[in-house]
Amino acid sequence: MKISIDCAALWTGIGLCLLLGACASASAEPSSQIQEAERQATERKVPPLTDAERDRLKQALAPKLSRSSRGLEATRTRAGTYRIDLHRQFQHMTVAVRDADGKVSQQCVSTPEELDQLLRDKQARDRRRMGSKP
Amino acid sequence: MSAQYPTRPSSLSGAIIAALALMAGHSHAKATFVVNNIDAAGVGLNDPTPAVPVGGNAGSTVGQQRLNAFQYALDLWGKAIDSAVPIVVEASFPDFDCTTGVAPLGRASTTSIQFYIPGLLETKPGLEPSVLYPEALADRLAGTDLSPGDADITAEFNGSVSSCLGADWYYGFDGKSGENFDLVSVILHEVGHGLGFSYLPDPTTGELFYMDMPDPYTRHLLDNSTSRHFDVMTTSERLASAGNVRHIVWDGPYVTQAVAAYLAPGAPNLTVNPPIAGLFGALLEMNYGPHVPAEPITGPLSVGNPVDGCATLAGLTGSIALLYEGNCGEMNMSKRAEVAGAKAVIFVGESTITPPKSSVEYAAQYLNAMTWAIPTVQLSKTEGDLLRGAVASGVNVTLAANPTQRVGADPSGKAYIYASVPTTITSSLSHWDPLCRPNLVLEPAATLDNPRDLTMETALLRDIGWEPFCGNGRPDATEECDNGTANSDTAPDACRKDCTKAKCGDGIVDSSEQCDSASDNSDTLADACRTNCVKAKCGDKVVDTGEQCDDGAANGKAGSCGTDCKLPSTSSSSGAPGTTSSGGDSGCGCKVQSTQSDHRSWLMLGLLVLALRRVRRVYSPRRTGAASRSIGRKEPAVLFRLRNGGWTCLPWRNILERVCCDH
Repeated sequence: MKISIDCAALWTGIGLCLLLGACASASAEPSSQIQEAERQATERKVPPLTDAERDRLKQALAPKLSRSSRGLEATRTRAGTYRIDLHRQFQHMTVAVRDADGKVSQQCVSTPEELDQLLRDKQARDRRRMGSKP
Repeated sequence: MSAQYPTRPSSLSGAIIAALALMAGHSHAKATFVVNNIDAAGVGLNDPTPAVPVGGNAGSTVGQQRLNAFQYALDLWGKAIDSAVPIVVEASFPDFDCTTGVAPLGRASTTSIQFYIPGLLETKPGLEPSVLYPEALADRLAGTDLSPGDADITAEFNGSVSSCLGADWYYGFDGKSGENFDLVSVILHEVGHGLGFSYLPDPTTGELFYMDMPDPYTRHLLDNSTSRHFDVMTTSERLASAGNVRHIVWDGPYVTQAVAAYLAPGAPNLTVNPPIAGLFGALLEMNYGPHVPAEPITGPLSVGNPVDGCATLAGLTGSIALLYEGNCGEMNMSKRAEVAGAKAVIFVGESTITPPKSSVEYAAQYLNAMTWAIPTVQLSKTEGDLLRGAVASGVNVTLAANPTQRVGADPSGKAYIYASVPTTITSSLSHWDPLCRPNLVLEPAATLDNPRDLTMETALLRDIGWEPFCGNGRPDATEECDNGTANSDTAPDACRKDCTKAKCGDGIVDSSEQCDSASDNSDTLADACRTNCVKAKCGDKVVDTGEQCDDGAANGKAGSCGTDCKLPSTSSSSGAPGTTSSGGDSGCGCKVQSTQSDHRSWLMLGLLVLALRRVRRVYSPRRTGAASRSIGRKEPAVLFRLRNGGWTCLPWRNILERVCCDH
C-alpha cells in the first residue's frame, strides 16, 4: 500500500522519538523535506467518497470486470482453432485511492465485487479519519 | 534504451512492420511486443504537450513519454519470455471515469481465448486439444499468429489521473515515482495479467470458463490441504478452495524453482494458545522495524490503551500488543508500544479482508526518522477482532519465523497465490500473496519500491507454456549456447540451430578441426575424416590411399610397417617371419605404374617367377613350419626365404604391389 505520510503523525512520532533518545538519526532528517511532504499532503486531502459517487463509479467500471463467459461465442479462425472474443471484459484493473486524509493506495481488482469492496473500505476509512471513530 | 519507438496510430500491419524493424535493435529480446497505438492525434499516447525528460525517459512530449514508458515495460517482459510471434498490445490513454479520490490507473486483459477440439479440426502443434489459452500464449505455442489482424492484449491507462487524485503519472523508468503513480509498474502488472497470469473460472459460480475446458493457469493452482487442482475440482470445491487462505499454491516446476532462489527464507508465523476457532493467523509484515525473528517471541496478548496507540501506552511489558488503525501513523504506535515494553506489535488494519491485500509501507525518507527494536505484523480487522475477543480469557501469542520456509511460500516451497475471505468478494486468485519478500510485480497491491524484477512472474508464465525456446538469443537451462539469429548449421564455430556448441561430428569444419564429415567420420575406413576430426594420415592404423600399410604407433618398429606407411624393403626378422597388417583396399596405382615399360619391370617380373619357385603356401603353419601369425584378413600369403636365412611372410597383394609400385 502506497501511503503518503500523515505529517501530523510523523511530527508526533519524531518528537516522541527524539524525547526518548531512541533515534539519533531523526535529527539528521532535513526539516525542509518533512515540511514539503506536509505541505503536499495537506494540499492533496480530498473530501470523503459519497454513496452516490461510489455507485456511479461502480456502474461505470464494473462491466470491464465481468468474469462471466455467458453470452460469449466461439468462432472458428482460418487457422482452424476456435476464438472467443472477450469484448474487453475479464480485465484486471489497478485502482488508486486517495483517502480523506491524503493517504494513497493502489490495488488491482478483478471483479465488480472486488471493486465494490475497495470503494466501501475507502468510505469506512474516510468516515473514521474525518472524526467518527468506529 | 532508446527513447524513440515507432508506433502505429492507424494500422496493425504498420505496427508489425515497425516492430520487425525494431527487432534488430533489441537483439537480446526473446519476445517482441508491438504497441498498437489506437489513440487519436493530439491525445493520449499522441499528446503533444511538451515534457521534460525524467528518470531515463527522454521523450519531449507527454505522448512520447507515455509511449516510451509503455515500450520500456513491454521490453522488460520481452526479455523475460519467449515468442517467435510478435505480441500485439492495443494501447490507449483514454480519460477514465473517476471521482475525487478514486481513479482507475489502468486495466488490461487478453483480447480473446483460443482452443481447438480434436476430431473436428486438424492437430495444432503446440496446442493441447480442448485446453483454453490466452491469445498471445496460443500464438506462441502454435508458432504463428492464429488471428492475424487482431491484437493479443488490450491495455488502457488513465489519461486524466491528476484530475481525480491530485497527483499525476510518473513516466521515468527508474521507479522513483515519489507521490506520483509509476506508469511502468502499472503497465508491467496489467500486461502480466494479459499474458496469462489470470484465473479464468467465474469466481462467483466456480464454473470453468468455457465448456468445462481447463486452462494452463487453473491446472497449476493447487489446494495443498486437499491436494486437488482447480481444473479437476467441482464447482463447489472450487468455490470453497478459493477462500482457503494460505493454502492455495502454485505447483509449477519453474515457480517452485524460483521460490527457492528468489524468495527470502524466514516465513513469519503466528500461533495462539489456546487456539481460536476461525483464526487463520494470516499476517503481513510492515516495511519498518525488524522482521519476525527465528527465535520465538511469546507473550500474553494485551490490547493497547488507547487501542490506536495514538497516546502514550503503558502496561505492555513482556506482552504482544494488539493495536488498531488510528490517525497517528502506524510507525508511531509501534514505537510507543516498544517504549511501553511490548515484545511485538500486532497491528489491525481497517480492511475486513483476510489476509489484507497490502501491508502498511512507509517511504525510505520517513523510515530514516526513527528505528524500531520490535517487529510489527498486520492482521485484517476480522482476525484482529477474533484476537481481541479472546484477550479477556487470556491468550498467549507466539511469533516466529521458520528459517526453512520462504516468505510467500508454503512449507513445501510452493508459492502462495492470494486467496482471501470473504471469497466471493475478493478472491480472484490472480496474484501472489502480498506476504512475499521481496515485493513482487504481481502482488494485489502496488508497493512503494516499484519492483521491476520479473523472476517469479516469468517462472509462472513458463509454467503455463511460455517456456524458453532455442533461438531466443540467450542460453537457457538446457542449452549449451544461443546466439539467436546467428545460430547456424553451416558457419564454422557458430552455435548450432539446436543450441548446441559447434563440435566435431556436426559436419562443419570448425577452426580447431581439419575435417568433419558428420556421421561419415570413421576411424576404420580408408581416407575418411577421423572421429576426432583429423584428416586420415599415416599412423592412424588405417591403410589410406598412398599407403601400403599402417600399424599406427608400431610403424617403424621391427617387423612392422614403416614410418612412412610403406612396406619396409627388407622387412625382416632374423628368426621369425615379420608381419604387416593389410587393411582395406590399398591399391597404389598399379595401372599407372604398369604403364612404365622400362626394363626394370621385366626384371622384376623375372625375379617374381624365381621367387615363386621358392614359395610355400602358408595356409597352414604346420605346412610352412613357421609360427602361427595373423596376416591381414586371412588372405593367401607366401613365405619368403630371405638372404640372411630368415623368413618373411607377405600377402599376395603386397607382393603384387611391390612389383607394380616399387619397380
